[in-house]
Amino acid sequence: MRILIAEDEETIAESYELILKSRGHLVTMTKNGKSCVEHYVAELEASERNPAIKDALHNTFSASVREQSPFDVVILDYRMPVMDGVEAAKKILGLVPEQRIVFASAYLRGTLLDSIRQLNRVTELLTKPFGLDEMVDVVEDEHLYKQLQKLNVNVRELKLFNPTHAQIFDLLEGLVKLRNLDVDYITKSLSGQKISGSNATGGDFA
Amino acid sequence: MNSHLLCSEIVEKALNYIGRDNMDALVASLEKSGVKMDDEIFDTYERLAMALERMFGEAASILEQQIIEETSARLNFHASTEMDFVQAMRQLRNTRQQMH
Repeated sequence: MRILIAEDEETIAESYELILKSRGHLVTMTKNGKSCVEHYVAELEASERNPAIKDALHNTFSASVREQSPFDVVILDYRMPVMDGVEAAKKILGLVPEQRIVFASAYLRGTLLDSIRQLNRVTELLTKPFGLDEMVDVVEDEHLYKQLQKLNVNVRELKLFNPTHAQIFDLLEGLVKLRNLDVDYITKSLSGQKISGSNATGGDFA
Repeated sequence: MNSHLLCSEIVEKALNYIGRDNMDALVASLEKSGVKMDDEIFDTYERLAMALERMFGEAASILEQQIIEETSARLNFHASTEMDFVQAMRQLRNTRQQMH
């Protein structure tokens, strides 16, 4: 995965970089939100100079996000000098609305509220202090894969397709809805009721 | 070359990794959406693509890619990676018609 990180504390930044590189990820480190946005814009512009990616950028966002975004995930420290994480996220999402963003923050409530109020979305959150293994699990979507495994999906095979976070999430949501539909169908069939559609919400894991 | 490519056979083989119970639920749901699984794959591809996208959003492209690959393997045909699901299925159908 291509990962962009903004973290102002040097020792923490080094440990992030070390663990993620050891997992085979391509990591770009920056020291604050401003520098992070600058890196993001530079990479995006470099992508736009590539004709194949340029086409994808000017298409709708239903096309592959992987091709539109220069990074698979951006990890932002919530509190940083020069430009904080939320401000950086706002600028990045202004460029690529589908960009996956993870906040690293000790302020759970504040980060969630800011995320909803300023970004109009609930972003992923790593609550400080967290272990490096926990960060790797979030970045690599292990929590979603575990839920897919519980639904009897062959996760090893699925990983061969190198799916994006959005694809894994949508697959899980789709399967949960499908299974709720199925349960709904069976329940109503057994009770002899007329089947008139689904009320599946997919809320089990959401 | 197989002369009859049933939608159900292709979909079940291609998407085996999502698990038997999920597959049963998917096939039931597709049939409810009007994708007749006993039709030939080429007759149903547009409805199949729409149904998969409605159900699985961004993940539909992974599922569609597997269906393309399974169909191509059965026809011994190389579908371009540039093509989306509908384009690939259309080309496969045209190639098949020309061969007959």
